Amino acid sequence: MGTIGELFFSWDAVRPWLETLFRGFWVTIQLTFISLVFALTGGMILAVMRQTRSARGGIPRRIGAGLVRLLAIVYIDVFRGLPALLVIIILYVSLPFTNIPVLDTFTGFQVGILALSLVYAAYLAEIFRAGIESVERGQVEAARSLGMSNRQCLRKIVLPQAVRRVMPPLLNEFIILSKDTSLVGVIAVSEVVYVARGAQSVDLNSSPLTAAAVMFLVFTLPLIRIVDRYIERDRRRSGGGTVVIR
Amino acid sequence: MSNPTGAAVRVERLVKHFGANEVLRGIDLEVARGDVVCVIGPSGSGKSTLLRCMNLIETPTAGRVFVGDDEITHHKADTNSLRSRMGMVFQSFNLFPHRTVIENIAMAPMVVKGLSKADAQARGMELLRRVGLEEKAGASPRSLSGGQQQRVAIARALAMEPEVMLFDEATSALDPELVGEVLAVMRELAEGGMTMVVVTHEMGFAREVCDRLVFMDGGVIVESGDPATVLSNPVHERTRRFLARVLEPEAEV
Repeated sequence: MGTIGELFFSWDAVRPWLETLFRGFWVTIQLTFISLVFALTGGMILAVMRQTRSARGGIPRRIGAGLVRLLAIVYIDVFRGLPALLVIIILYVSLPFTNIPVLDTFTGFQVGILALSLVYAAYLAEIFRAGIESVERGQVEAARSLGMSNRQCLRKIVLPQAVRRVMPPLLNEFIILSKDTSLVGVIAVSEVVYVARGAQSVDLNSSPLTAAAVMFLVFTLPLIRIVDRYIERDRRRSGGGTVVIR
Repeated sequence: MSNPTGAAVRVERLVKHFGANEVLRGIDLEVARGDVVCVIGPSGSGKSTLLRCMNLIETPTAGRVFVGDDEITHHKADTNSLRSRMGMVFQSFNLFPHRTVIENIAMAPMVVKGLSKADAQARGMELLRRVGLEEKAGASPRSLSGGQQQRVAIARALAMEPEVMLFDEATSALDPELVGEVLAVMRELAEGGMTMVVVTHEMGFAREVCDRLVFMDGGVIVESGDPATVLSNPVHERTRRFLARVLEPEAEV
């Protein structure tokens, strides 16, 4: 009794919990993908807001553009600077008392999605911004000289190239998001880490936690390989890499 | 907003400052329909900035620019649609790398003019034939040589059916053996009656193709006139010194 093997890798200790664990992992997957969709949308909007410039037009338009930019910067800085766990807790304990319609009746699952979306929108905005800024000035000049408006140029020329370039960091952020869903367990949402911990505390055997770890790895490892492939491809294209000159 | 002279493009007292740096110090230039004007001058003379101010890629500090009868610098002007009446070809080609050659050409007519994909691509193929690259329609711009990329860029600009074509040192980034194919396309365009403003270092092209040669230095037009005269018999000392350096680089002092 008490060997490492039995403590972590006991099939008998996992089997009764298997269905619970799978259900928990399904919650984890939902938290991940739903938050991702909102965070991608919000991040793209924030990144574009942050790029707002008004070269022409009167003073009101310039001030307007400045305000939009400032709003995006404040949002991004605040949410980059806060721990996701704190955002989850603040929203969970405060929303029921706010009397804001719909929001004050949010379930833990919905609060989790809201909090993760808010935080990750800020992270993804910074990644999108890096991508937008990496597109050469000449691309914009060519598009505008053909008569495209600022908006058409952004949609057809700048953003498609920007998104392509930031695929590796976006996928990385996606992996981190999938792992951060476990933070939502703190407000009693039955994601996989939360239910595995519950199982452990009943039987005092860690194998359900191992099972949760395996589920995560089955999900994240292929993604990690894809990121590596992307980076390798970009490296070859730009002719970079480890350079050794003897 | 009237332009009584009926020129294709007209520039009036154009001034451009970058901070304290006065790049253009009052340029007046008129290009008649069907004319080819070559602009030469030392680097830093403001010739590229002049071209870029003409279609407002660079915002002029002062002065006016007309396309046909319309003032593009007017504060109420529809800049986007006026811009599309001038095609621009860049030193660094600036093809869209995420699209194929034919998509590069068809994109602006679809997005800006609302042409159907079939129409835009059919006309794009015609233009590709004109620049001798129809077999490259489905290729990625990345896979083309510099000369081929620049020919595609010319076709892309022509797809908007511009009244004027602006060439900003279109052959300066090319390997010497690729310059000829691009100049040939430009020459054919000029012979077809296109109005062109060409910033260039190709003196041979300037001599043979252009109707008027403009020499710029220090943000002003120093001298302009018949190319053969300006090149072989320049009036101004500055023009003479520049031409001596360009035509006989070895003899530089």
